[in-house]
Amino acid sequence: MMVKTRINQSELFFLLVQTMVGIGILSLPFHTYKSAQHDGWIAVLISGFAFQLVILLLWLLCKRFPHLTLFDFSKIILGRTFGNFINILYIVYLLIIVSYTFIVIDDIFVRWIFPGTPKIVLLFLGMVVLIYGCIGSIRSMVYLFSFLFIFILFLFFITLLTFQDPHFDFRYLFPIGSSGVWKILKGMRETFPAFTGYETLLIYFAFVKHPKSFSAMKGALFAIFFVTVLYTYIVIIATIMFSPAEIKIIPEPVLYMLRTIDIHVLQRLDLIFLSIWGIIIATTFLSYAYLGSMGISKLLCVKHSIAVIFSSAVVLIVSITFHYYIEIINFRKWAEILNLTFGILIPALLLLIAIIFKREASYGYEEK
Amino acid sequence: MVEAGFVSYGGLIVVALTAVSSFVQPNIEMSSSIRVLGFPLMILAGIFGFLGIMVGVLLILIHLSRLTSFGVPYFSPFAPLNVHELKDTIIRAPVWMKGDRPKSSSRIHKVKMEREWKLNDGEDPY
Repeated sequence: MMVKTRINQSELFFLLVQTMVGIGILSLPFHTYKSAQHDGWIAVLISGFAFQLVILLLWLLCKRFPHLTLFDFSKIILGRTFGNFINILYIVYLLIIVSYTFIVIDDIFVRWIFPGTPKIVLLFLGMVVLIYGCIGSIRSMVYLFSFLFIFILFLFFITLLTFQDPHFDFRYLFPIGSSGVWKILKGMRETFPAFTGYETLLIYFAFVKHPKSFSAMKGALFAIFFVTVLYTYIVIIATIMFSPAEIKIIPEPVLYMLRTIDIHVLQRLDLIFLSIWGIIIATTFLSYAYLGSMGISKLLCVKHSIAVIFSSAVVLIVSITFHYYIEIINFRKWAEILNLTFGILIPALLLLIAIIFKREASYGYEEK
Repeated sequence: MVEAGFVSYGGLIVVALTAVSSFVQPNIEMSSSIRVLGFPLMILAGIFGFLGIMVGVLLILIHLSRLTSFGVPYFSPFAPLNVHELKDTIIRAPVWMKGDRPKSSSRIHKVKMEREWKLNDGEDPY
């Protein structure tokens, strides 16, 4: 079924940026430092470039099926049964990412802001946002995301305040590239979870105007570019703020960095940063949950609002059970593997099948 | 007041800030709706602190971004970001740049009435 809403390039940019900037940003410098030492920012740049290529791969798949989402064209490629199977896998994946996000933010909020508060309370707060935010049209999501882009800029400006701390030292970055190519490539792998969210292009691309032309990718490519620059900036700032001995023992360098700053009115800048970061996280899980419930509503042929409630119930159950049985670090590895599977491997396979068996959808009516 | 121990310095600053920022609203009719929105925010702030305020603001923003009046979205030049119409929102552009009407309004008269700031094509300057 062809989608009716059309978005333009800037709106695609906002959708992808809001989905991608999320849980990875806090601990990214810590993880890159573990494997690439002070050259983590080079690893981020290289993997940003790699994800541009991945985006092109997704585009090659999506442009064969103009204005069809993944949930529709998987049935065209693989037939009804296997297509529905792939759809179920993708729905499960999207909802698992939502509950992973919930578990991580719960953990960080409990450790930093509310020590002693039961995690369930925060989970229910997030659930309210999820249900209220996801019931609505895709157009309202786009409006919301493009308005909330202000908060990403605000987050960027808060980190500028760290430069008033006299202890930063640019020499921690030098000598550039001394940790060796192999270590930088290994550091690249650590940056993959931070880029989670590019795979939502498989569904969002259905809404873009004129999907056959290359200019339909401008927003997506620019989104990856923006996220890469933001992450590189964060990694560089964390590397120059902390000495090599310090950064190895702090899992959230960005927060520790802000904690030392003292503007006279605001004592704890990290709490404000965390609250604003909460909004950015909210856009991440809203995006995923919206797509997940879109898949459910297409699979079971139910109304979108019922699908939202169903998916939020699944997320609640999954995040409560996973919270007790799985450690976050293990979950992080799982999420990374799942992300690579569902973002690169399965689309590549689908593209291969579509090319071999010449599966393609007709263009249909295209308005200006 | 402060020395007597009734209020703290922080409390005074907060009260002063709220009093000053109540002048921001352009319309008297908005004041009641702002007051109604304020109480849930206060409760959320009491329970969750600054995070609660942010969650409340997020819920309000979700609601506002769905509103439309006569088909025009509530956050119109920002939320469907439209660079051409931004010239009338934060910083006011010079009058000669504001020739065309907003896209959401009439489709027929796309250009406003000529303001005679620039010469028309082939017009004699003297």
